[in-house]
Amino acid sequence: MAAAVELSRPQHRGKYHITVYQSGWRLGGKGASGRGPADRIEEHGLHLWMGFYENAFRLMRECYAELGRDPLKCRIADWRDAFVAEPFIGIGSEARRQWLAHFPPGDGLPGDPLTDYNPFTTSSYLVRSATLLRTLLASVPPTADEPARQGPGPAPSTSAFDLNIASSAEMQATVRQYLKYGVLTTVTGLVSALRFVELAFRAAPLPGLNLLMPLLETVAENLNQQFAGVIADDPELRSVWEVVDLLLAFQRGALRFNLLSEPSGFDCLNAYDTREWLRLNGASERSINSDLMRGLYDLAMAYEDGDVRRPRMAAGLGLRACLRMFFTYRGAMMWKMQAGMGDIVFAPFYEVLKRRGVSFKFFHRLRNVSLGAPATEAPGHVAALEFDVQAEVKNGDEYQPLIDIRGLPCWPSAPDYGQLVDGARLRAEGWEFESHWERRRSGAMTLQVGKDFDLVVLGVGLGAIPDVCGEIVASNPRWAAMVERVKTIPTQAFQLWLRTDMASLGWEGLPTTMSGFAKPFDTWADMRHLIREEKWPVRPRSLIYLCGAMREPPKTRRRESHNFAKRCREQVRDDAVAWIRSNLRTILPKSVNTSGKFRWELLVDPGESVGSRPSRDESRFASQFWTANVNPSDRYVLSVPGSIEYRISPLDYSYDNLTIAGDWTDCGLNLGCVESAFISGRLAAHAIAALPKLEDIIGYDHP
Amino acid sequence: MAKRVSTTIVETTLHEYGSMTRKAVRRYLEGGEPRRYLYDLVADYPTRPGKMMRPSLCVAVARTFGASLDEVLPTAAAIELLHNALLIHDDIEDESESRRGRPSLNALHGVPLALNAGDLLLLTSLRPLLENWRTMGPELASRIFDEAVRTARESAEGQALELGWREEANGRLREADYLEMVLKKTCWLASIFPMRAGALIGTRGTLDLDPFIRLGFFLGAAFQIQDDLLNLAPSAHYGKELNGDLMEGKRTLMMIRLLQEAAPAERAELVRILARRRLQRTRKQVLWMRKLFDKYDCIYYARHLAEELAGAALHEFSRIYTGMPDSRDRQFIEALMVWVIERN
Amino acid sequence: MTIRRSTGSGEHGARVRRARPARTAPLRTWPGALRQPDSWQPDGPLATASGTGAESRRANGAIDGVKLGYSVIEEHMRHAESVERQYRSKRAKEPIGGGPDLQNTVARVFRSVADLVPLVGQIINSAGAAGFNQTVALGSPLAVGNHTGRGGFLEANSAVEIELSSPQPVKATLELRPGAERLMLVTTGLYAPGIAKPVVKGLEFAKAAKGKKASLRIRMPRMSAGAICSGLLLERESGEPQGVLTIRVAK
Repeated sequence: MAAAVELSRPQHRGKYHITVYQSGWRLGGKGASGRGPADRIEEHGLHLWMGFYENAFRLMRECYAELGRDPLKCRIADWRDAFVAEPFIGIGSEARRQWLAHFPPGDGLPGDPLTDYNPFTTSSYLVRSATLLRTLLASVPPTADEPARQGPGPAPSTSAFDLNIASSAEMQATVRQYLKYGVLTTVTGLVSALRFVELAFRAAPLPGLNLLMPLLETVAENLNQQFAGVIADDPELRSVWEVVDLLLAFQRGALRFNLLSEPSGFDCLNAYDTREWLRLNGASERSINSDLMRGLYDLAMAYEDGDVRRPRMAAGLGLRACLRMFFTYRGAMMWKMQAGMGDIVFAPFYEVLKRRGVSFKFFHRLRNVSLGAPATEAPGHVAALEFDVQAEVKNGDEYQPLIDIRGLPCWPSAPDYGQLVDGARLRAEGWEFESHWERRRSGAMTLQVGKDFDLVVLGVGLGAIPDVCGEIVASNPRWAAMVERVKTIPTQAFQLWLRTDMASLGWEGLPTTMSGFAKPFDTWADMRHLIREEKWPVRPRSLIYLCGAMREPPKTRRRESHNFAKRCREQVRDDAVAWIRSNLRTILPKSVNTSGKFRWELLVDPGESVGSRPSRDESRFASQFWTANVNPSDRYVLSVPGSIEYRISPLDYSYDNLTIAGDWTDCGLNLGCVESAFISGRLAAHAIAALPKLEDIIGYDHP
Repeated sequence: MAKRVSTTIVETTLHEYGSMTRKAVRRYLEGGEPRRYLYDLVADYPTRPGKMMRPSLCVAVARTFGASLDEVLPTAAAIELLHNALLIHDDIEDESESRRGRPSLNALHGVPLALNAGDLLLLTSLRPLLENWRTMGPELASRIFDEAVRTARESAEGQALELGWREEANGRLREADYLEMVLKKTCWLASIFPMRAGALIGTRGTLDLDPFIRLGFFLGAAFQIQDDLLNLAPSAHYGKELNGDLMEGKRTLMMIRLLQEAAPAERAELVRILARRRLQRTRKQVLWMRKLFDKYDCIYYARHLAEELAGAALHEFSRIYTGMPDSRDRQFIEALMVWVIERN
Repeated sequence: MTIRRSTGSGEHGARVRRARPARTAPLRTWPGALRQPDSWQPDGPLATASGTGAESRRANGAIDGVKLGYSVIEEHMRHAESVERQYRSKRAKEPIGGGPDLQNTVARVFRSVADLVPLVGQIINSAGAAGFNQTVALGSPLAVGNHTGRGGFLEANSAVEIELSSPQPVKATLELRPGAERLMLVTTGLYAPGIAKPVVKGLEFAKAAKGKKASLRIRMPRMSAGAICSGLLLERESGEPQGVLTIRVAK
């Protein structure tokens, strides 16, 4: 969609006539959402928008501005209606403690025009990390050795801290002073040493920055000693210490691996797993296995084959993501959508693109990308595109995909059969237009290059590539390597609507998003702000979304057809019920009865009417929403160490009339997330039209 | 982890391509008479042990683009011969006393004989290039020939710059001047020409060669700075005398940095020392200058710059080689970027 | 999604291709970690969550090695390009060896060594077994060693034509001394290495009729794959060799 938005800009003066082919009835792929009974929002999972998603926010803001919806008629007219800042993020653990952090607002708003600072540099990350370290330490309460604050020797003169470090000789001398006089045995000395480190990083590039290493090592050691006694009793301090430890490991690693001058930026670390790399640079086992680290892996679903015993995330990417997430956000660190992602993102996109003259063909499912005769020299080209026409629209009209939910254009959870030829029969026979295994179709269609199209932007998910790009994979070793090495996993999610409010259920705090919780649904979010979007006969008071990686089903089961998908759904349902039984009470202690069993009657059924008696057994779960995202195209892409270099960029020129887009491509960020999808779409547009300029794709050309 | 790998593949490849080049070189060194005054001298430098980085780079680049060994070895031999011919001249111009662990040609035989041998070796280096006309057609052969001619010109210009600085005892040099001099004097022959020739041969002249100028420059400059750094560090394997550059008064990057950073009194003394001829410099003065290097962190400075240039070389490498298939030759070239600054 | 490009540039009927992008990978350090990109002003303040309002500034005297390196090399390449242009334009005007500037002459002597066998034109047969007839016009000789990789090209106003017909795909290369295309040329015959008898017997350029060009017709017999044959081109009057014609059969 991002590619379409870029290529249909007025600046191109209609040079590109775009047709979007979409299987099923809704746009969005993994991000599609629908409206089910009670207008309830039904998502594939939890979609978080981070404050560093500059490209995503910029395009969304432009979209909303272009749409110019009337705020009196539509409740989501401005982008600030669509996205709301979420300042509270939580990290949870299975042992009843949760850790909530408040992240102070960053300057400006995401997608704002660029101001005069560039936060995306390794040196700025290092400076920020040093500042953060200092701040964290300064907040530590004074310890028992307070009287020894002066230390056995004088601390280096504070006036030095206001000067820039002009030469490495000066730096070397100061380091020696710190190490010599036992200054680092006191917290004050440590804080002062860290201020010096911050100054040193700010002075980068400077020869001899490696001279900081012994200082950082001694600081880490002494901090360890300082904290060791205290953290056993104070879990909050322990969390602080874990962050400190990780930050120090990052700084040491940055020096050791020469990240300041490394031409490939953090990518040079991608052979390592993130935890492995931190460990290599001195992080303790405790910090590496902290809730924080686990939460980060959970957010990225970084589990090989969905197996939570195998957490794997390429270190370069992990670092990049963390640093951008924590140090470059604007406004809030996280933003929440105020309706389903389909309603917030894809419906506006659809409307804007329609206005700009883009055509849409729904119910067209790509089957095969056929190549032209191979030329002796690269690049090859796409000669034809073969589609299944899943259904036809009556009178040959264009399908109207959106429904009106009290003034807001939304996507439905099922197609509008009334618009389709033979619609009643299709509905009765239960055609699953979005399922990979649905073979039934109304017809077929082939597009020929030159006649029907000139250029192609391929937006299917990576999991679908072997199916639709069989020729390419067979003839192009890089593509073959990509589908083999770049991993995807299925994911699972469920949503619960509860009839009492969160406080009564036992959650006293503010609405939160939390990760690192009990597997397999380790990420949950309080989505009560969406209830007003829905229209329930009996109004729920709480709404929770949960999601997580799904363990890869054994291969033998996959070869079977649509029963497989059905069985996966059943598995997710069973797992969700089991999860609720075991874990929900940790977050919602009052959701269980006196024997500790979950009160199923708390769940609100969209079909129930006021005054009806809800059942009390777990079959009530059937009224909720859950999903097993096992369609190949919906699988979530991982960033496993050693896989990143096999990704292919949308700019790649193997085929001179084809480009690719999606968060699985080599888009610079290379993490499965919304921002990657947007960046890749803009890159695809660049591949076609040389615009936007690569320098304008924020964060692309950065470490 | 990456460092260990880089040493092995670089050294084995240098050894392998080096021996093949030596064998090819020998064909052109079979000489006539007089042996004692000419042909033995001509054959001396090419037969002394050397790193063989220049010809190896040529062969490796050619092979990454699909050339066969037979197609590229004559040109690689020409590069090695040209390099040795210019070494003979360099040693005369610098008044050097040793080369690769043995006395220099001018030290052994005196300047006139060495100069004469150098001239013949220079012309000998053209012979394999002329053979290219027969084996790869006139268009490609003349392009390679042109590259050689340009390389000789750039080397001469670079050498002139450097010699000119000595003449003038120029105390106002900047890093940019140094890099320009190294680019012309060293990089063209050490890395730019070998890679461009290799690319020409491998792609039959269809590839744009400009990126190799950048890549070769960064690589060669990092290489040269490391050479100069090694000259200051005691090592049994090294081919030039310890602190020999300081004896020569060579304007290395460290010296340029020192001249910029030194206190006025020190700078005045430095300029005085550097203005003298080599024979008039004493060991004591050399040691004093060496200590100043430490005092002003010149070595750290040069090392850091070399690292940055090697990083830029890696970047340029990836720009050229993105999307190209992996191969031992490609790995060798990539590893070379790190090796040039880590070797000793 | 698919895109139809509105017709605009591009030959009629040719398949639309997208342009090859200038680069296909991110530049992570240039300008990245060590330098601010143009869209941000350099040396601006860093944003800090804790609000310390720090600045990013480089310490005095510290050199940005990468930036310096690039400025040196770009300047070198710019200079070389302009010198190259000067040489090319000078040679087009003056005969070889002329000119007042000694340095230029010396350089041009070097160049003319290479110029002895400049490439002038190429013909490539792709019609295959059916045989082909193709005519090529010869242009004036260009400097070889043009480092952008483009060798000779064909110009419209030339003096001679070659008509080559062959039952197989062949590649023909013609190398002439500068100015030779204005002369009347004959070939003694095209010979394959090691075979005394010529593959193609002696040929003569047909004299130019009024308003037409002098042309040379060559009929190639069938040869084995990969075979080569070549022949000297002599000036008809003086018998002086003026170039070489080489025919290579495709493998």
